[in-house]
Amino acid sequence: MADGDESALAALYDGWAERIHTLAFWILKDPDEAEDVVEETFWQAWRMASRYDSQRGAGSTWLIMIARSRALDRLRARRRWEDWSATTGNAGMLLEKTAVSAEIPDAHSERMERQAALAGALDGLPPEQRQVVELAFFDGLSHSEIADQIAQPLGTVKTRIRLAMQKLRQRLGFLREESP
Amino acid sequence: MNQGLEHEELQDMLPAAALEILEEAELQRVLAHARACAECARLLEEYGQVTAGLSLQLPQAGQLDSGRSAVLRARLLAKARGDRRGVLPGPHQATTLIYRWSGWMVAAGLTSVLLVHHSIHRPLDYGWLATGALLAILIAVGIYAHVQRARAAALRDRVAALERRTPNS
Repeated sequence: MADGDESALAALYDGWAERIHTLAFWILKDPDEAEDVVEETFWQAWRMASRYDSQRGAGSTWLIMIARSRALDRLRARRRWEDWSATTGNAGMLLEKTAVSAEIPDAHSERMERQAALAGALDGLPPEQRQVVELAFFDGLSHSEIADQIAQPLGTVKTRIRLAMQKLRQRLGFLREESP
Repeated sequence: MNQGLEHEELQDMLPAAALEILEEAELQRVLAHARACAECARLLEEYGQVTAGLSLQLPQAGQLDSGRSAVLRARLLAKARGDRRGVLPGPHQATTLIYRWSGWMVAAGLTSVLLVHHSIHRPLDYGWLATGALLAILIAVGIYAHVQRARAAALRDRVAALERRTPNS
């Protein structure tokens, strides 16, 4: 693909589009936005292919990191929009916000869904570590945002994330990616 | 800061860097360190694999419609073909570039005008004060422009999403 081979892009798309869409959908909960993430991801991969260094990791990891990054950018933009709408008090915008919120399942069922989704991967982690990883992974919340959400000190949140990721890294064999 | 201590501190931040939850300044510090430290570069890659591994564990949801996927694929390949032919940036891309730097251009222009004004009318008096004030103005305008760009990007995303949801648009 670094040589400008379109068939390589086509093959990459055929192999990974569905998985990228799944990841983006889990983060954004919106099929249209997930589709946009798919397009942005493959386009960025195409444009940045020459910078990809195979010595530094698998291509699939690189692709997934691009996709997750694009999805989180959109999620954060959406949050900024909702914050802005809420502070300006514009009725029309608030209606739009309500419409967006209506598409998202209620917080409890969404939390249960997420826990189930990563149950196998996070199996064995203490519940408090699982919780912070889920918030970081799905919502891209910063340390301080997670600390606010779960009402825990910032240092505690940092430690939990670090310990959880260290444990997951040690179990990398279990998590090793499979080609589609 | 002692180099060993800084290395340890930044190494502790690697998991969060891989999850992309660091503030921008923290992330840049970590990436700069990882570029110079082979051990941290390797660890960052491994944490990246953990994050990617978690992504691959997710069960399928919101299935990509095959018809829309085919359209998307064709559009991507057409764009790639155009890109390979070395198509020059279109007016939209050129506008985006100007837009991206517009805040800094305005700030630089304003600073230049004020510097010229002060050099003519007050060559010696208040020199440092004026420089400090100008620097503060430059930074403030830069931050303001950054915030406005982020807000405009969020608005564009919402408008695009609404357009997609509106039939016959």
